[in-house]
Amino acid sequence: MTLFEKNLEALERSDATLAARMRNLTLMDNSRIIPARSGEPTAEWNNKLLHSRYEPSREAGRFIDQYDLSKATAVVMAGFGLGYHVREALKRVAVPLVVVEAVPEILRLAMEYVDLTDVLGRVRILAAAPIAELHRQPDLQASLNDSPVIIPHTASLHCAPEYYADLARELDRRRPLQRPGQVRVMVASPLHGGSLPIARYAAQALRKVGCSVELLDFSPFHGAFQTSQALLRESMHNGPLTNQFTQWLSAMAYARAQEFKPDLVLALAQAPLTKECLRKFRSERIRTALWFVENYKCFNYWRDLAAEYDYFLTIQNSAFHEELRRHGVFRAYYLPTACDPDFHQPALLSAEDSQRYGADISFAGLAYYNRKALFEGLTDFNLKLWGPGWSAASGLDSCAQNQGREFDEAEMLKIFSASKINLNLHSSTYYAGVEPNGDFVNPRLFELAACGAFQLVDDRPPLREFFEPGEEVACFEDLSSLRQQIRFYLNHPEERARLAINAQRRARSEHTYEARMKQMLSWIFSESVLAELSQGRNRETAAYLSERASPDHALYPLLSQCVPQRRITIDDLLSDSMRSARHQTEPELVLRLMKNLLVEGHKR
Amino acid sequence: MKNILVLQNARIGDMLQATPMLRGLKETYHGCHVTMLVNRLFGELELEDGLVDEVVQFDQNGLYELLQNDTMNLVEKYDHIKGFVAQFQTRTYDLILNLPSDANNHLLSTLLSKHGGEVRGGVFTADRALVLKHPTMFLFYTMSEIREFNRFNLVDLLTLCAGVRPDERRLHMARTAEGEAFADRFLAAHSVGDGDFLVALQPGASEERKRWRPDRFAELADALKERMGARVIICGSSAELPLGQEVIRRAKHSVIDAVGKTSLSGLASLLSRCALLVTNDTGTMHMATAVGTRVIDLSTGPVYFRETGPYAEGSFVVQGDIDCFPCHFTAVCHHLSCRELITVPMVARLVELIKQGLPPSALNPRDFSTVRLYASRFNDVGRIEFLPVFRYALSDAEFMSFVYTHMWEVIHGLRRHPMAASDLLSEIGQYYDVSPATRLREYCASMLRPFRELSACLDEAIQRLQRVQQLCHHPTEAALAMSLCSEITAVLERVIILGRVHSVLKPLTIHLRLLIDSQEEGALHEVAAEYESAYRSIADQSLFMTRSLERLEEELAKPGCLTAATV
Repeated sequence: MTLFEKNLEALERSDATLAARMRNLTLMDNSRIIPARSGEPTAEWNNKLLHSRYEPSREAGRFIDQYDLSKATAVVMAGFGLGYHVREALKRVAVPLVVVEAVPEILRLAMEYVDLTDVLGRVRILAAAPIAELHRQPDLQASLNDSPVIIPHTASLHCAPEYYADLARELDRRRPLQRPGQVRVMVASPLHGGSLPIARYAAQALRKVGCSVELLDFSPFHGAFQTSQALLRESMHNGPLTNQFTQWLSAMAYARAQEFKPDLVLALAQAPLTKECLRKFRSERIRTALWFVENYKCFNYWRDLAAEYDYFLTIQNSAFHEELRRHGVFRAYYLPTACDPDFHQPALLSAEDSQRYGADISFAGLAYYNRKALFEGLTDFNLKLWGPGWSAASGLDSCAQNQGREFDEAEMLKIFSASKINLNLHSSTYYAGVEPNGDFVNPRLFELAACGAFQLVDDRPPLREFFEPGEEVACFEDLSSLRQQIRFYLNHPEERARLAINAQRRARSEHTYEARMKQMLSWIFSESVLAELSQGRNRETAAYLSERASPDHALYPLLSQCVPQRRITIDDLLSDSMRSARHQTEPELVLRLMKNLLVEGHKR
Repeated sequence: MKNILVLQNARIGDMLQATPMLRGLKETYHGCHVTMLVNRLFGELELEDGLVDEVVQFDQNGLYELLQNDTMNLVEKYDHIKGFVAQFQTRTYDLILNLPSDANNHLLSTLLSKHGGEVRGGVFTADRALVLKHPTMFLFYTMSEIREFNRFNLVDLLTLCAGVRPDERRLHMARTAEGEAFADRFLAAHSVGDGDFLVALQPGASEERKRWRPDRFAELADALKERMGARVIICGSSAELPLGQEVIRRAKHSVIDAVGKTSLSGLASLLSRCALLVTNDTGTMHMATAVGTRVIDLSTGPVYFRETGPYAEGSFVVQGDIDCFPCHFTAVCHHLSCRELITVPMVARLVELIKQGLPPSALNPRDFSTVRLYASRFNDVGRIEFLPVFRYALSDAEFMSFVYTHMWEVIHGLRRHPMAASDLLSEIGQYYDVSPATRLREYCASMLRPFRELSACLDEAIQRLQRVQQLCHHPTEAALAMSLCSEITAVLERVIILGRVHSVLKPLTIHLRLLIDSQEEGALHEVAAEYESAYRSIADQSLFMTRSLERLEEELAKPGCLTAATV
């Protein structure tokens, strides 16, 4: 009986269908078996080694030892190779083990040359199973429910990178979100300002998705902060005390995290988390994300903090992401704001409310430079302006409501619902009117839409990603087109209603905080698994790299000094080089060039 | 000099501004082989024949993507980058000119200098410190820190750095047959005839602060059409399509859309057919200059026309008249007021002037009240100057920029002998309102004190350094030598503080700091000798400035001095 037949017999006992497939499979000429120095067979697949040339079994053991399997309730391996690592895993665990292999021919190759009789009966092998159907496989399903340890066999990943990347996404999609209670998110709010309600909406949305959520609402401390600011007049006192106050709030966030044990800390713009606090989170492997729901061109404090966060979520796209890369941030994602359909609803108006809030045209928001300039041209209409700054604006004071006081969110909904036309002009501190080429949209866009309120919004390129002008929202480019649109829509209430209904439908189905949070979770929690699968947790270990560098390679002396299991980066090699050599060497200069190219990123 | 390597992987404008230097290298070192490293993004730029023998493209984006790519391991990535460097190592260079202040270039110049040859520019020493090589490079590298005192243009500085004086004072760019054919076809397709007054507009620039507003470009296009019947071409790269489209959309009259439709050679030929280009400070501006088209340069934000303005006579520069101009490169501006101060009627009036062939004296200063307007011309030593069209009041910093730049012209060999104080005043008074003489004289007198104080500090350091060198010959005196060294460090700190207190000293104190930082490791007596040379060089400059100010003060004390100078 040949080795293959012995292996086939073992496989038939656990999976007759797969055994039949293996029997009928023929090998192509893209594989080659080579004897390793230990005498065991190793193999090349499309000229790439599947296992070590030296001691495949021993190296497979070292590779598996990188994973903490002591508490594993299930193991999923990506890639079978010649099965050495599978055998080593079986030696260490007695829990269900599923192996997903993209290329059935590799399994056949292994069965021809390696005695796997002790392995094949103890694992479930899914060979080239369609990714979309994987979740229906009962063994895999059961393993996923047990939060398995996922072990990617790096060399196998090269044989079918796309398949394994899809597998990573699928596993991840199934893993955290199928049992979302396992994902614990702590949301840190600012003390005050526009991102405060967004923190609340985000926390609520995360709960709806099924996460365990802790909202750190810092808004009660705003009063204390204001009081201290008012008490102290001189910056020499105010500055250090503000700093201490922030540190205190940050320490509180850290302490709460110790109790809550989050998987993710999601901070909203201006949340009082210091660099030191973020570094502690990182050292404790708690992921951190900042949702910067502000215009990066107007607020530049992100420059100091950006690199301290693991993930950076932005409401502006490519140009900001380029900037972030220059500041060492590589995981930036575009995540616009949205609406909360549970809150952003048409308000029920009493007769008194209708009287108070009703108007042909309303605007609720701060009196920015461009808004003042543009709205001056609308004073011949029935215009009401709500919010701070309007009563002091010359020419507009007669339109200012409630002595220019702030309005709360409940009032905001009444204003939206009572106005025939709600203006939405994105703020600008230097354009006298509509800022051309604005590169983000504000939350008001979604909130008005979700409330079923008709809005006239300034046209800017990203708007079309969310709503269709003329069908869902009405747009203007300058004062003259604004006036024209106002006249038209005041005379056509049926058109106002049509657009408002369309926008409401779209906002409630597509632009919710729930959808945004789902998106964020898939990035953050799939990326970690993706990184393991596509980059390979073991791939860049010193042992792996030493094997790839011949002894006369310039990097060999540096690599051979490293602990074999240590995962190696350019920075590690650079610091090792600088420590070990008094004078810079040529390899060090090349490594510095590599690092610099990475830091500078894309150039246009 | 047989083999010369020029590292210039910046943008199109920087490449073009290096062309007079390349021409100078070829004229000075007959038969030399020039290799030039260029940014792959602009690799298609055709320089004039004979400027460069070999072009190597630096594909920074490609290398970045490779390093990001997960299919290669770290060893393979290292080998790839090493392979890129190795292609230069087949040749030994006698001279490496490292032009832009860019860490990649510093690393490359260090890697290549290991095979011998002189490096000018940044290089890392064996103990990993970044140092500068060659005296003129210090001016080049400090330019952005002392911009209020500098009148040297980048092109002139580059030729100084290379130690060459090209015969022709112009940028060099090839006009290709393909480019010419494109321009013919393009203009014919838009029915542009020989008699048409063709004006190009370049609304794009690398960042917002450097851009005049697109709606103003649109208004300008309309004004040129209505007032002069001009045919207006909107230029720009494919990356500038949204901006170009906005200008086109906002313009009431039809314009010719060339945005994203031209190759670099096509654009050059198209620009050569235009009567002029109205532009932000861009590569397109330097291309127009290179093909002989006049330019109206709208200088905003951190762009400083004295450094990178159009290198040709007869161009105009418009700058918003605001104290913060030019802003620092790292400044974050929320108001962009400098560009708001440049209005459409002003620019239209300049275009009209050029069309009518009138001299700048035909302009009315009242029409340009919120800006400063300059015209370019080469001065008596062949350096490009941007001189005011109207006689603005001379600021203290501008006055000092004349005095400093005059000194640099002398010490870098552009001017054989210093100018007489009366001639310098006459030169300044020709373009600026310098009255009353007493105010300027008092300013000169008040500036003497900081320069003298600086000179005293520098002399003190020189004396101690000489003493250190003497003590080095006596091993028993090592402790004393070391204590003197710490005293010298204290003097250096005093010098740096002087530079902070009296900003007028900055060009000298920053230069000294760089010189000291650029000293390599060595034995104490060697380091002391190098330091002495550094201090002496700055002491000489401080003395030069002191003497200049003394002579200017004396001249200004003469009755009727400025009256005579400004008549």
